[in-house]
Amino acid sequence: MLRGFLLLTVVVLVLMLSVAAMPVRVFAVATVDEAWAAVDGAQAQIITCYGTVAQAESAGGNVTELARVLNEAGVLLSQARVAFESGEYDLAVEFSLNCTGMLAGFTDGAVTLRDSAARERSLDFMVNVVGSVSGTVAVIFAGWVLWVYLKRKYGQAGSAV
Amino acid sequence: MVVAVSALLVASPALSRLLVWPRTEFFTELWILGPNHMAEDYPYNVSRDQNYSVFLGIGNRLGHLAYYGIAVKFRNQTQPAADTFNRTFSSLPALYNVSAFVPDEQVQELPLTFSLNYSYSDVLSRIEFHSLTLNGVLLGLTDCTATWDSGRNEFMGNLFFEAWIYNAAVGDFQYHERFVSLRLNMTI
Repeated sequence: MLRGFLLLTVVVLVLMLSVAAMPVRVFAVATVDEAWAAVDGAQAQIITCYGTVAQAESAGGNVTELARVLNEAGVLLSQARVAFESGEYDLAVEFSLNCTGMLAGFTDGAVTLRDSAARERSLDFMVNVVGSVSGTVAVIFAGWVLWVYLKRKYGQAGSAV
Repeated sequence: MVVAVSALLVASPALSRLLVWPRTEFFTELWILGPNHMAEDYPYNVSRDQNYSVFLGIGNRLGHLAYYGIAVKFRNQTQPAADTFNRTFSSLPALYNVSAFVPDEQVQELPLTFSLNYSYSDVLSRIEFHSLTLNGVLLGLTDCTATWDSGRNEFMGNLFFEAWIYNAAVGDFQYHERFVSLRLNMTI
């Protein structure tokens, strides 16, 4: 009897503690300022990421995949804005946090792509422009040397005859 | 002769970079296609709460990655529209903003599904719009009504999409001087 009562007490206590912990997550109400700060922060992060991706593209990188992620984050930002406008501040914060969460580490990836694209472009320039121009000069020089050699050889042979 | 041909062959990678015709026109394409991905069968006669599908396309020929903000707006026959000739945007507030990041020389197509919730007022003989649902997002249409246009035989509603572009130098979006629209007739 006593054991059953103790067990029941423990179960009730656990349930009470669970309920006490829930409001922090479920019933937290964001104010208009908090919601606006979250939406504004998400917008600022998207713009930062956009700037980095633009740099990666101008360095010659293929940014299709990065643009796809940005587009997905943009959808979340749009939904955050709609939620904010309709006064659903909790939802606005949630969408904004999802947006910023999606872009976590994004800038690092874009910077890596930018740097590797810059290296590839530099290598490409060295091979295809510098190498090509040097090769052309070498071919022309080799042709001239060959021409001079043949002229001397056959020119002397011709005069001897 | 052999030397000249060989030199040209070796020089071709460098020449292919030098002899490129420079791009002189930088612009953005914006289009709207019907449900079958063709420029036909656009929704016109719409029913209340019925879903309609279109495709909104953006082509970037600006020479760099662009951050577009497509402002979704809705108007009746008396509210201000965007102006093609004066290149001005509508002063109506955007109901929704679609973000689109489009790399240079690429296009992006956004499938859009929309429905309109409205009612007909017998007393006032007009359509009263309540909401627009765009891709599952409910957008309120407050103080928007449509009266009967006897010239066109329609209760006109105009769903339109304005292209805005993020200008990093200014740090804000600027109207990109183009829009596409769907003229709709609300059936009772």
